[in-house]
Amino acid sequence: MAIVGRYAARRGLQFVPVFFGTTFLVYFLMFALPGDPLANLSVGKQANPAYLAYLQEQFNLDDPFFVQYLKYLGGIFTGDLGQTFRGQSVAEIFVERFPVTLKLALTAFVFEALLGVGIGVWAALRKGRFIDNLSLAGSLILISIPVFVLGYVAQWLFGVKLGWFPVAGISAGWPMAYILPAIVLAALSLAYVLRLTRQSLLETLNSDFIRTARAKGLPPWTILRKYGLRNSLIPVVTFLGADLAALMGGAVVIEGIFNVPGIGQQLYSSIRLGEAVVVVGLVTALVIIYLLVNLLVDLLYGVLDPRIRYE
Amino acid sequence: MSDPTPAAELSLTGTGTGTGTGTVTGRGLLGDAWLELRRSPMFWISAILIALVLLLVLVPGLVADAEKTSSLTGGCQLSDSLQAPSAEHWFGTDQQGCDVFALTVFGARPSVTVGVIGVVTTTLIGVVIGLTAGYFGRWVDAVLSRIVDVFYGLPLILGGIVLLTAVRLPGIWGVVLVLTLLGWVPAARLVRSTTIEGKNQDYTLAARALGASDGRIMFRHILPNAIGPSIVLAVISLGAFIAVEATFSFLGLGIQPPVFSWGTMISDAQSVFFAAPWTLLFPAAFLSMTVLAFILLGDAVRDALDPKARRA
Repeated sequence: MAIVGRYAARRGLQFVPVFFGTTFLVYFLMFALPGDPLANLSVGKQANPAYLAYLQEQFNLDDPFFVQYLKYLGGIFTGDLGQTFRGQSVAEIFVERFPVTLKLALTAFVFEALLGVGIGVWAALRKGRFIDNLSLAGSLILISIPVFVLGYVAQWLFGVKLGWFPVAGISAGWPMAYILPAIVLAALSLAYVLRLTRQSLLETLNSDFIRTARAKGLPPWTILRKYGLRNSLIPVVTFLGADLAALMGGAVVIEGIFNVPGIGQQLYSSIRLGEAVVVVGLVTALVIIYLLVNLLVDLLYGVLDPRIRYE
Repeated sequence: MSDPTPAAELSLTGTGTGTGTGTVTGRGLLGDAWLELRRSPMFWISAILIALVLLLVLVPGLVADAEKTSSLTGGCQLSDSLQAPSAEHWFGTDQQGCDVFALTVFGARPSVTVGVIGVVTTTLIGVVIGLTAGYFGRWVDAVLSRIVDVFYGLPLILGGIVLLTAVRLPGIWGVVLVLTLLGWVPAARLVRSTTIEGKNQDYTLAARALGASDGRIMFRHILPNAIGPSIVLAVISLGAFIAVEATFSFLGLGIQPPVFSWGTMISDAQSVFFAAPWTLLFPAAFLSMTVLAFILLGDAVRDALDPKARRA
């Protein structure tokens, strides 16, 4: 347990510079580039003097750049991410909408893990046969089609034409309203998980200890379960862990298309309205969640795989 | 006296070495790869697809009529709005009555331009940072790796949304800026790890024993042997970057009218998709085919550069 503790402490320490660096990067992207930040942030609002004054105050634009950043960082820690044009707090919007995004991301994650690993194992066991070629070709196509195209086609086919799922919105509740957007959200990662699982399992099945197990006359199912999967799923689990965070951030387009009232949909509409303060606030919050989930997965991974702790 | 690159030296097995004359006639890493590539059907399929896309990028006027893409020239009539594909309009018409085929043909150039410039800039940055970090190691590596960690913590789409919302530099250059600033991380990580591998090889030691300078070892000995995986990454990224451009344009942050790309066409088609699916499906199909072609090409090049990978 002491080793796990030391690993956790080391990993936590590494997190600190990344946290400050990444939030600084977000802030830098917004303000340190050429151009008048006020003019940039108030596009479309006809530079209403009251709003300009609000921006000036919200982002402490009178202070030197580093002081601005520190004050902004202070805002993050005290939950102050700014306000919308109508005076609603961005932090409130985040708290209100995050559960929806989380539910969508977790549903997508289940599809990604179950279907990706399942089909990947199936394809590896039938290498060179029909199902293998079909899954390889299918995953290539999934990787090539932009996610928003996939979204519209799925919405049209399964929502409008076939009527299997609600076309948009979440009034049908979980799981019916979430299935379609979750599958589309998971599609790209699912293709990667499938290919990674197949490749990794094929490599493992070629190794000597599998041949030994076969020679001993163990049943194929036992060989797969006890020797094949255990050794080949490590890179897959690593990918899945890192992807959980990416799913939450990647929902912008999907939530926009399927009208799922999560963070992504708010971002989508705020971008279109030009509400820069909301956009930046929500992205900052998402990036922090992304970093935290990655940290958590890393810690969990250290518990699961002893080799990681000693690196 | 020719100056053999280390890649050429390595592949000098069996072919005429010309030892007596001091000239080297090896095929080199890329020459070997080319011989492999020629035999791969995937390579030819992707090459043909890419050649077709390049044709659209370089001379769209050969394939379609530029006038049909704009209402300013009278090429689009509102009375033709949202017509289904027909002999006159192969891909149908969009809401403004513009010919979707002509738009798709002329939309190729901005999409591909963004991808190509993005790949060139990110590969250059990635090579410089990865090579420096991997070769010099120690504190240089520590500092550069922390910077890489920070950029790695910011997803490309989210970072791009902030940058494009705040900077208001819409159009091709805004997307190129995002790709350049935030897209170099995978290239840098890859080059760093291949550099560390190459640094410990005998040929590097030999070059150093002969008194080669750091710069010479890095660019003449380590880089040529590390370039293979980078080429594969660059080719695959090209497809990915074209898709990223489409995503930003779709969100309304990328290319803006009057310029149009496949991404903006898909974005414009959103509201009429159920009534006129062809307005979305044709540019989407071209976009997907292009991305697919670059992925296939990347796979074929990887197999050609690393024959071991093919047997797995």
